[in-house]
Amino acid sequence: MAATSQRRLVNPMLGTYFGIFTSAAAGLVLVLLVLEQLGFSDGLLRLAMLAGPIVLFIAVGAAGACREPSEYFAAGRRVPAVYTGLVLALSALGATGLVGMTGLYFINGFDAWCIAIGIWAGFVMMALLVAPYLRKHGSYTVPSYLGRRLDNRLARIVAAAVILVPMVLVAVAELKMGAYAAGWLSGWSQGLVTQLLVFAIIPMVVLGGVRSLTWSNAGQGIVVLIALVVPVGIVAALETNLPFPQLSHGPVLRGLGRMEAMRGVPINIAPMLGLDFAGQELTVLANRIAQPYISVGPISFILMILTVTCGIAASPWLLPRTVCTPGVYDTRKSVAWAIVFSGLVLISAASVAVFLRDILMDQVVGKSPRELPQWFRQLVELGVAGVKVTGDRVLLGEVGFKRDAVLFALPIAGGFSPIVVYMALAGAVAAALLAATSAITAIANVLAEDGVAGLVWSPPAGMRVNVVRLALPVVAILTGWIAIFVPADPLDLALWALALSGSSMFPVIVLSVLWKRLNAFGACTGMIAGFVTALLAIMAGEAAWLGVPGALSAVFGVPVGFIGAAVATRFASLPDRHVLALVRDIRLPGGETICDREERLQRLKQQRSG
Amino acid sequence: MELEERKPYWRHTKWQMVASLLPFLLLVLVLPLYVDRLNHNKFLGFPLGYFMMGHGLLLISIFTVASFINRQDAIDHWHGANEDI
Repeated sequence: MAATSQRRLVNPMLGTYFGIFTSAAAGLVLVLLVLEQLGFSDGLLRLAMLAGPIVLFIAVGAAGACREPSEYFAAGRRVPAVYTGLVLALSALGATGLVGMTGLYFINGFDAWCIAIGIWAGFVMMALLVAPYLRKHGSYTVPSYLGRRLDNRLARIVAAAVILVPMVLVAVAELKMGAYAAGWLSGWSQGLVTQLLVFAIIPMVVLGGVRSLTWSNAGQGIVVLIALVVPVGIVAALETNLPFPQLSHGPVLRGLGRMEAMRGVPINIAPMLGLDFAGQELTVLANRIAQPYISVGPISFILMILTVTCGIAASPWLLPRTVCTPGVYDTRKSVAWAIVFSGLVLISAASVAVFLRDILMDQVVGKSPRELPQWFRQLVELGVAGVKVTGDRVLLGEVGFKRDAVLFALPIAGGFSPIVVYMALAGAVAAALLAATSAITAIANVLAEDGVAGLVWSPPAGMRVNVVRLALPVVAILTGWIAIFVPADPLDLALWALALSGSSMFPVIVLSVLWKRLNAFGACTGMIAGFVTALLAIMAGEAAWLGVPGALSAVFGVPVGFIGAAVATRFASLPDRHVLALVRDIRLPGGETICDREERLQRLKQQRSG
Repeated sequence: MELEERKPYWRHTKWQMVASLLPFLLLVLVLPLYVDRLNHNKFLGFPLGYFMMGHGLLLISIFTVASFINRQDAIDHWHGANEDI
């Protein structure tokens, strides 16, 4: 006997709407290409490329205005699996993943795969262990889920306090990376562009909450995919006759290996626990691109995979997106789509790095300093590349690149129109907006739902939405302020955020589904122990007190979280009978979504009493 | 869903989780140790170790989740725990 569910219909016009959106975005690029040929000023073209997509995103977001809580917090649970997968993948990567990972592939070569593998494995864990059960429960934030599952307000507040830290780190990292790309595109200062991004984010999400967020994010995802895949596709077609760089960069990579061997590029194997990813500064290209374990040791490689896996599987800024699908089956499918999209982005990023290295080896390395090509001189003038020649020929070890400039250097090196470079920059801005709005909305929802409205178990619907509408601009401005004034590498911030969210949330969320006995005392102990351990390990790693780098702190945090939760649970009483019934209900995909049922019953009660 | 059906359903679901996760985790943790050796071969023009870390593990992840969704949906239907559309 199949249990009934309250599935809602997906809008059949979605494909048409996003077809129109994609045409508008592509049309903007084509019009700007024409205007560039007609001799319009460069400043105007840059401004149009920055503002055009942002205006489109704000229009899509504002069109999703709503007041009903199930619409405002879960987009009416009508988001198809493909769209959810797209926004999940790009919220997990963001501009930090897109821009930073391309740079890491270029500078650190093979070793960057550990982060990519961690992201895919994290989504696998999410699909198997976490997302379907959270979808069945249907709560709008992770602390609300834990609060209801553990039947305890303190656990809800502890979870909210603990997850705020990684979410703020992600929002700050994304705003910083977005400001880097938008600053390059507009020529304005980082402070000014960060403020502009913040004031673009507020109208984008404040009117419709998660509904606005979902549909503007889907638009941003489409822009990111176009801006990433088109330039590298053209380069691949020119170099390999195949416009599929993801599959065709293999022979180029092997050719690079042969050239590196001929030019005597050294192989320096990293220590077992070494982790030396390129920072934001100019970094010398000292490694062979396909040689493993040169900047990340073999043990660090595996530990980094596990850290990112736990961080992604339990990340509190991604999990609320999985409850917006029409059902549990769609949630499982959406995470599978997230792996497909993140794979497309990460393998395209790797191919960008391989093609740029190939052009560099071909046109710069081995040449005399007087013969350097125009595109390389342009990159040096921009301050994103450098060369210090000691002999009469340029060696690979004498060329330096800035990690975050690699993605935008490929269209410059390919000799494309400036509009293609601006398109790549606009793609990075869209990725930053996507992940930043995701994190900022998640923070505002946690503050409003678990901080303010959570103090009352059944707050009125209007109050819930209004509190978030007040919280969103405050959170956006505060994170923007931190992004302007706190100097830090966005990639470090993102890796710390994953380590912290993995350590504090992964053990408790997984146990909350798999272990009926888990009680509030155990969960609070697990969350706090995991979080504090990871935080201390990050500080010790950064101060070089510990042999393990800070980015791998989840190696300590996750086991401590599991042990803390398991041991402390034994010291407290068994959960009540209704909590056990709730866990049994969460485990069944069929039946009405638990939160929707509670809201429906509450409305009925109010109608009867009114 | 009948009350007495819940236990076998959850047991079946747990075994499916283990059957999907264990081979995947084993591959993710063991494959990186053999990259250097695999790199001596080539596949689609790629050094095989590099290909397995990028494209290979991506395909393995997609296969793991896709097969899990398929099997878990069959389990849901078998025990009558599926969503009614």
